[in-house]
Amino acid sequence: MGSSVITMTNITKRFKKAEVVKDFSLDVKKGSITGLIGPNGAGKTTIIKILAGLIYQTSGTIQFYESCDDLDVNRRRMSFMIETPIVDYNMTAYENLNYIRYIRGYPDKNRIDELLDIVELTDTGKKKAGNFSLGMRQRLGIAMALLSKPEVFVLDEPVNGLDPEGIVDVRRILQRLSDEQGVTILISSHLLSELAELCTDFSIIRKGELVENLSHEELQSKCRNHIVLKTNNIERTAAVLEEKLSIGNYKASNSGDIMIYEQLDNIETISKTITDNGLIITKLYEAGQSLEEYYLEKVGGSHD
Amino acid sequence: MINYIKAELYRITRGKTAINWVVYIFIDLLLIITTLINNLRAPTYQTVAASFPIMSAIIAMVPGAMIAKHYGNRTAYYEIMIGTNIHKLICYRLIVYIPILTAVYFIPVSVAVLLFDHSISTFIAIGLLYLIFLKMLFLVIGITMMLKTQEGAIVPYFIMMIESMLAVLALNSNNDGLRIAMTDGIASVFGWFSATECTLISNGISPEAVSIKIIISFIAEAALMYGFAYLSYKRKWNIRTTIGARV
Repeated sequence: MGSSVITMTNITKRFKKAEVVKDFSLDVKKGSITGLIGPNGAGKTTIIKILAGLIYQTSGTIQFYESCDDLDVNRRRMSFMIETPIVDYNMTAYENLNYIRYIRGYPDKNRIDELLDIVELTDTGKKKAGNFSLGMRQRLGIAMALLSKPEVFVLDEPVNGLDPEGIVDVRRILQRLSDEQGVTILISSHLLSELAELCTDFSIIRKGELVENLSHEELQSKCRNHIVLKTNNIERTAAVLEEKLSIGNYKASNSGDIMIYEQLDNIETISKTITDNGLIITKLYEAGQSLEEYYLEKVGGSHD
Repeated sequence: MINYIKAELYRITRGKTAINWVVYIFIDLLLIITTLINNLRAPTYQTVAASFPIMSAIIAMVPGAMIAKHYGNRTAYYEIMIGTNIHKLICYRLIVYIPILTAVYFIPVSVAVLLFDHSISTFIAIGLLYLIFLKMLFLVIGITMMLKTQEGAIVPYFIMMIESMLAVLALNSNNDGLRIAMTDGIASVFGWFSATECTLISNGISPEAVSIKIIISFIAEAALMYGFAYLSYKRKWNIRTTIGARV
């Protein structure tokens, strides 16, 4: 992973007496897809608004490309999509994109057709954006954000309100951007399941506070918390575990399954040792919480 | 700057049907005729000055509505999110709307007056009325950029209505329809209002007599509105990022 493109350090935002973001830090590396996950009201949108320059933080520092200076200049290398897509409902998809092309001073008009093709809105013709479905508007918003070929793309709840097909479409577009163009993506959502397959890094936020920053591998590893083993002889297996493998942290269930809570990386050794001792393995796999369960445990309870 | 001007012209001309354009032209002609209505056969600068405060306030609602719509659908926030210089944001709006409204309203009105009367006083009066017109545009653009809501578009109209009422009070307080004593306490403040200035001109006072006051009040109001719009962006006042929510 490359250098940092977005660094937020100890960001706090107060609205009158309410502290909506508290001492939040985030580091988004070049080329990564970072998921900002938290329940509704956790402060995700506020963080993204601060990044977009729409509001100021009360305290803390922001760096783009490892520099505190020229934030506005560096914002030109980025694109933001905040909650509902910002589109002019009286314009067609083409006109909305052309308007953004003027604003951005982007010379190549062909880029509009290219983007309409990417987001599959080519056949909308003279239909006004006001008559688009939410999914179509969301895709148009993405196309508008991508017009100037940003290096960094920040999206706030881009799949909110979309049907499963729409969610898959948005995910596919983002994955393509990351893979083919190396765009760094910061995406927020209140559902980990939506981003679990997409993101390389996660930042979990709750009540304005950072709960945990972790990579996809770390998340997978944290969710994997025991090995399930079943053999033809539970007593002899327990003896092998203790004597040959020095495993003391395990538990046998009534069904005959043995849950092993240590040496999770040694599954092959465990398998070999059990077999070498003449036991027959009928079940052996890693198990643990689902990503969603892990996330809920971290944010403390059910989804809002 | 040029890309913002192009973008604004593109934005305000899209999504309009032929009927929309016919309606706009009709309203424009109606406003021009109404401005000259007191003496349509031979309009003078006094004729124009009598209705000018209200007419210019109505005309000024056009940029107000256009800019307010920009904030209403939040497309204006693209400009912030790409880190646009605030001075450019204010200037491109002035550059777009001042020439358009001058061309569609002020020039036809002025030409109509100059056709019948081309004395020096008429030229001076038209120049002063143009400053009042510009003051109104600065007011509406400044307030709309500051409030960043659709309501911003009608605030100047209400200001002009209030100014017109106070102008009457100011004139009555002197028992003299022609002059205002600048030492009359609160009434002296009313004397700096566009409505009072126009009423004085329409009542027959020499345009030269109020020229300094009009120039000073234009500079002061333009500077104030520019300052408010700048400060509003600099401090990020009333920025609406989500439909129905402001920060």
